[in-house]
Amino acid sequence: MIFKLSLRNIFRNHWRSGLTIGGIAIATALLIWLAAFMDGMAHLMVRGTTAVEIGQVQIHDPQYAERAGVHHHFAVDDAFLDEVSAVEGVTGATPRVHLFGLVGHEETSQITRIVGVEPEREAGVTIIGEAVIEGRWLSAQPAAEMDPREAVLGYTLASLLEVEVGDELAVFLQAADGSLGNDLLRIVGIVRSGNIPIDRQRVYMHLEDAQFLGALDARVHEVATRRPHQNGHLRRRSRRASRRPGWRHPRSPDQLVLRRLRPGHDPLRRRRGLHLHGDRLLRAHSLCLDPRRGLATHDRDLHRRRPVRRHPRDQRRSYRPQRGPLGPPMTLEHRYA
Amino acid sequence: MAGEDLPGADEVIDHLDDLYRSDSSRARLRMEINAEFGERRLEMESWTRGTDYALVVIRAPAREAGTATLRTDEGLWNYAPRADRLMRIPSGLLSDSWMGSHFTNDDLMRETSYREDYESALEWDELDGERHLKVVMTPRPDAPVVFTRIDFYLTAQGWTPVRTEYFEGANRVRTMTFSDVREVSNRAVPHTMELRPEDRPEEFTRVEYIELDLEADVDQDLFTRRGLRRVARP
Repeated sequence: MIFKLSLRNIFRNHWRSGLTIGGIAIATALLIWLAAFMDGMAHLMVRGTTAVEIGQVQIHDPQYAERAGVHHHFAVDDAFLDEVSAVEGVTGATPRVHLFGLVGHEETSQITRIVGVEPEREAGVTIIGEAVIEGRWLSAQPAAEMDPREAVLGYTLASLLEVEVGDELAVFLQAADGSLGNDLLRIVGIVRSGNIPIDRQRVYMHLEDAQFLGALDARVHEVATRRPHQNGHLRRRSRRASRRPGWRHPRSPDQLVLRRLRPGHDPLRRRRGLHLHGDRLLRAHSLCLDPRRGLATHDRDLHRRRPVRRHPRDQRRSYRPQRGPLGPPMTLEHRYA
Repeated sequence: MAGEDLPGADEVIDHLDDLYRSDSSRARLRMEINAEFGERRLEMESWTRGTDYALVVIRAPAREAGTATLRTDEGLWNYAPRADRLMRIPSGLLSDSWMGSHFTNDDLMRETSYREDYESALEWDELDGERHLKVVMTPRPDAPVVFTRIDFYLTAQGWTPVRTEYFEGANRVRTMTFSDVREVSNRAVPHTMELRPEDRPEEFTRVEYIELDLEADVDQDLFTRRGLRRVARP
């Protein structure tokens, strides 16, 4: 009875019903488009960051995932890297050292994240070498013993320090054994990635140079790997995995940390094995996404911060490495795709 | 007992500001750092001249020997001996760790002044059953300081510091204890200072003065790039 009444009501006034149905249809279509747009943008940012910076899977010392400290490192040799590279689906593996220190000269200095990389292996995992806008990427071998160490800077950092290719910088940092490392760097290149933490705070050095500076004899903080892109898949697996005991999400909904890796168990694929050492941590790393904040901070990129008797606590906050939201690295992403 | 015979606040603050300062001084120090990376010992030499000039050079261990921090009226610099370069420390990093210890750049180099940057109030207080003079310092507006309050406990006679508590908001974040008081140039000066962060109570940094000469003859030229190189490079 009610159904009949409703139908009659709809057909009684064609204009009224048509306008109502049309309005609902357009609003629904807009919502679907908006959801797809946001999802696409988030996806693009994740792809861009994994392509430019972090790779799809990272291996760390278990404590490093809890707190990224300079003294949570592990030994890596060629055999280990070959073993990781030989895993089906992995197309490259690169060792890295992460240090935090002051880089600057007599006029000013900045807190930076110094990343020690093997230039050739790095090219097999990320495309950061292609983001050079001035000078060149690190050469295959470190500089000769007595020469300044080669360094590639993010372009915002270079502009904050008011330096260019060919200039020299001093670096000061606390090494893994607690001692103080210092050295002289020569800027050989400047990278611009669209990724704010890279552009504002990153200094790339040769792995050996960074190991010497950080008192890390043949030890690294991270092995990053590249494998075919599968973020949606990873996110679904990650969500399911987080409900199991022993698996957890420490920082973001897109990050998966395995506390204990069983030999022969692949966290990303159900049937194939990643044959890694059981005591290592395998981290499928992605991002905490907040496109609005990412885009907003992008525009502030070239803003120069001059410490003029501001409250040090606030100043320190502005120098702190940002976590999570990153600018959209569109150009590089397309090159990668 | 509160309110009785309280000394003048300005007099006490000047005493605190000038306790380790003189027209010119030279000291040798030992720093022991116990932190999550383990234990480290540094030996250092320091020179000061007036309130504006200070230089600290690390002498041991060998890996760090020659590393220095220089303060002049123009700013604060670290000297990297391997690079043979000075690097300016922005004032925003004054509250950051000095060379990996629990001390901050400001603790060691005293860029800030108790008199200029804090309002102080005095009161009598009990500490370990004894009457102590308590100085409560709160930062003046726009002062380039991190802590929201500093409580100094001084001995009732002589105003020698015994303990300092540093607060951020309502929380005590670190405590410095002073000991090994010795007479130097007619002043009672604690020769050992131990700093413990409240959030990691098992960690600490201890500084001991091996030598402290508050009447040393220090050349003004020492606080220049050339003077620093002369004493820092082996």
